[in-house]
Amino acid sequence: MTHLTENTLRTYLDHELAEAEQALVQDHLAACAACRAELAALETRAAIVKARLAALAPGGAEAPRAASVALAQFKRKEKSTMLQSLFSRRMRPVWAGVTLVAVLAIALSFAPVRALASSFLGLFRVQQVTVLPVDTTSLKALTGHSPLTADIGQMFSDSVKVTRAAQDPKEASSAAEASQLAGFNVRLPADQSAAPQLIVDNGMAFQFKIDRAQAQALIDESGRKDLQLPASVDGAVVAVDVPASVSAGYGTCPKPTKSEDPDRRGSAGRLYADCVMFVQMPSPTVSTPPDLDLAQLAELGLQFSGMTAQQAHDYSQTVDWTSTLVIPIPQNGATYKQVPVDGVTGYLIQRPADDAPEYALVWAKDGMVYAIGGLGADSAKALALANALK
Amino acid sequence: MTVASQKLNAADASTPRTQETAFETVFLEHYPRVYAVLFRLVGDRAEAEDLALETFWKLWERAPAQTDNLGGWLFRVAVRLGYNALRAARRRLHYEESAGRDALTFDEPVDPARAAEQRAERARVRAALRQMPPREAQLLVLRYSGLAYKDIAAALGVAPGSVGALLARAEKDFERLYGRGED
Repeated sequence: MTHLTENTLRTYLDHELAEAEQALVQDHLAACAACRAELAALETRAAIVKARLAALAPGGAEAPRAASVALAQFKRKEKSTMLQSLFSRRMRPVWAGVTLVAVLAIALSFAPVRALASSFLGLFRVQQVTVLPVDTTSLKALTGHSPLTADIGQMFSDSVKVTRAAQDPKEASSAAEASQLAGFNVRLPADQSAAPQLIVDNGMAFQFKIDRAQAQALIDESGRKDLQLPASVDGAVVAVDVPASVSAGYGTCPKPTKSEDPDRRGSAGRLYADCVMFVQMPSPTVSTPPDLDLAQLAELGLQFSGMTAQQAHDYSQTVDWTSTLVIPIPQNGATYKQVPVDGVTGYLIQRPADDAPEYALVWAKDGMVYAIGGLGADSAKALALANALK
Repeated sequence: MTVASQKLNAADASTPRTQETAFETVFLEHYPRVYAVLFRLVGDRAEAEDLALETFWKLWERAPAQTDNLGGWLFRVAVRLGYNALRAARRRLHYEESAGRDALTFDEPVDPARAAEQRAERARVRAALRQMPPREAQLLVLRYSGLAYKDIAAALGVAPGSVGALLARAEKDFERLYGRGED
């Protein structure tokens, strides 16, 4: 009797033999111990290799994004040139640095403006801040490691034109030097025992063009097909200008580095436990074409963040969107309260997480936006600092 | 699992519109698996996405002369692009180390010990693949991405009846090379 070949046995194992042959092999195996032994060896090895290769399979955050979203991107690239896309991943690190700016831009670009219709170009300037508690369960897909987050990043990196690039932050040795570098008069609290570490960041400016099809594909992908972007947003150019800012660090604060240091992650609470960071900058501005229906966009944005249509409508009526920076805070992950600060009303936001409590005090005054942040639960430090400002 | 054969035949495509629709159908059907094959080889989300689009770009640019097994053609292109990237990836080792620290993502609690273990295992599996003859490495990745023998045969340009033998040999070679990766 001729023994079965390795080829036949391996193919049999994968159920890839023709039916008739499969039956013949079964008959042979029933009668042949040598072939059974060889099959068992092949099976064991195949199982081991399969398990090893399984480690390479894309896991949760690495799962492919929706094919429809990829197709929308493909078509857009096809319109420009595919060549550019080959370089697109080099754009990504640039985006890591401006995540917060992008979030800010989204918040601001959703601002509906009643007076806008009359102006040629809508221009917003932050004069006050408010907080918007959001149900983060619906935003989870946007803030975690997820295909959707990557898609949003991709959308930005594809459509954004940087008009004034960010530079490495510079250290300044005195308030006077910082003022000169930043182009505004830096305010510092009086009576501090130690001089702060002063860092000037030159800010950046960029504009982006909204691609309705792509943005809608993302919204659809997040499970909110009911929210339809108006056709008028397509091709709208939104310009964002983030002016220079000055941070004053009190205590042991992180040094300005271009990219975050991965080794330090997770241990910031121990490394910089006593750091209090005071940041000031002139209000960022956002301009949009006058025919963009921002009221509609704002309500869509609010619904997207978990509000019902009615709630979104009501909320948008309570805020003067032309001049308000809306800071979304997670409903269950943070608390906030209004506090008097620097002669105006500000917001004290606290994240009481057991492992890494954080606080931030935010306010706007005379065309400037201020924030004091620190790790730990002792938010009294922030208020004391703010109220000592000259 | 079988990759359905799709026709994207210039002769059938009477108008650019039908051709475009046919392309979209192929794209939507195959994108997730093309991406998954590439991800296994390069281990980086952004790079796998770029290479997946590049794969479809090649299809769009010049529809293959032989059009009766587009899936096979796509996976042939994808697995070659991915394998070349894997070979070129030594300098990119830091990429794998920094996986999960992608742009525009926020902190999310992950078990660092488990993540490190997974990175080490992935690096070791890829190191073994990198040392294998190209066809064997490509064969393993395609097979363990779930492709059927006939699709593997089409992608690698071998006879369907020889896939079992090739696979058995590739698995032996892989285990030998993987074993060498032991400290």
